[in-house]
Amino acid sequence: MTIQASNNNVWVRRYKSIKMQGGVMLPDSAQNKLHKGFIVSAGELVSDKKIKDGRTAVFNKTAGFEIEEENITYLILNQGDIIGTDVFKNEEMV
Amino acid sequence: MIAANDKIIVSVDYSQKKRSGEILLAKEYSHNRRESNPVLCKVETGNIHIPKGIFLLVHHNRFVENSPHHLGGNLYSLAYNSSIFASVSKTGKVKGLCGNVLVDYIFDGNELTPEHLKKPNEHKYKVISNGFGYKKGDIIFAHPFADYEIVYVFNGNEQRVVKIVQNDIIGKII
Repeated sequence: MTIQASNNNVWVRRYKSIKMQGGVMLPDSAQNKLHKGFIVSAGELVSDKKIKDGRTAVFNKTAGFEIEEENITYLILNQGDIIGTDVFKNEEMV
Repeated sequence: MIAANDKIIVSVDYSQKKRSGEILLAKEYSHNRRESNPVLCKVETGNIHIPKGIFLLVHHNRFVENSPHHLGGNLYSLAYNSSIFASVSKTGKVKGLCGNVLVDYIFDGNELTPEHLKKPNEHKYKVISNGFGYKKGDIIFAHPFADYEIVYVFNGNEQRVVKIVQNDIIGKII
């Protein structure tokens, strides 16, 4: 399944946060969600050319809403919610 | 009468939403125009976008008798904007207009799920009419609560169609 974003929306898959405390790995429920993710698709009205498929997006803590599709959780962001982009980081995704 | 400034003139059948012997609970609190006002109208004078003679589905607040757009009788003037939802052909086929994409609900669950437990997915919809870059059968995603259900009476039968404004669509499956 391939998703194509519409308008100025950006579909992101959040990177997994892996934290250790005292040598013990914390469960998912005890970890804060990372504000970074992989851009799956950017809509045709996204004006900033740096926000494009395959890059890493850094976004506001409370931005967007989540959709679960075929057991993958996507975060739907508006273009304005993204505060920075970076090259793709080969990290595990949620 | 000839319409000016890209407007159209439509005629409305007021009886289309009048039901007898049925209690409308929403009226207990206030006058609910969505239940009582007609939404289906016939184009009497068209413009370059809308030909004469077709039927349109329009927002229910357009057909209020003390409206400044009421021309007398059952005639109203309509501006060509997003309050015009869809056109209905003589055979009853609907087509979205003015940035409104017509969709159908997709129900969660599989064939083993009982009917009463199947609920419509709040983000995922199936397009039922071509237009605005979407084809019939496309699966699209939209913002929560973006769906708007239009209930109208055509040829004596109550019909329902769901529309989503084009700007509320967040993506589609390709």
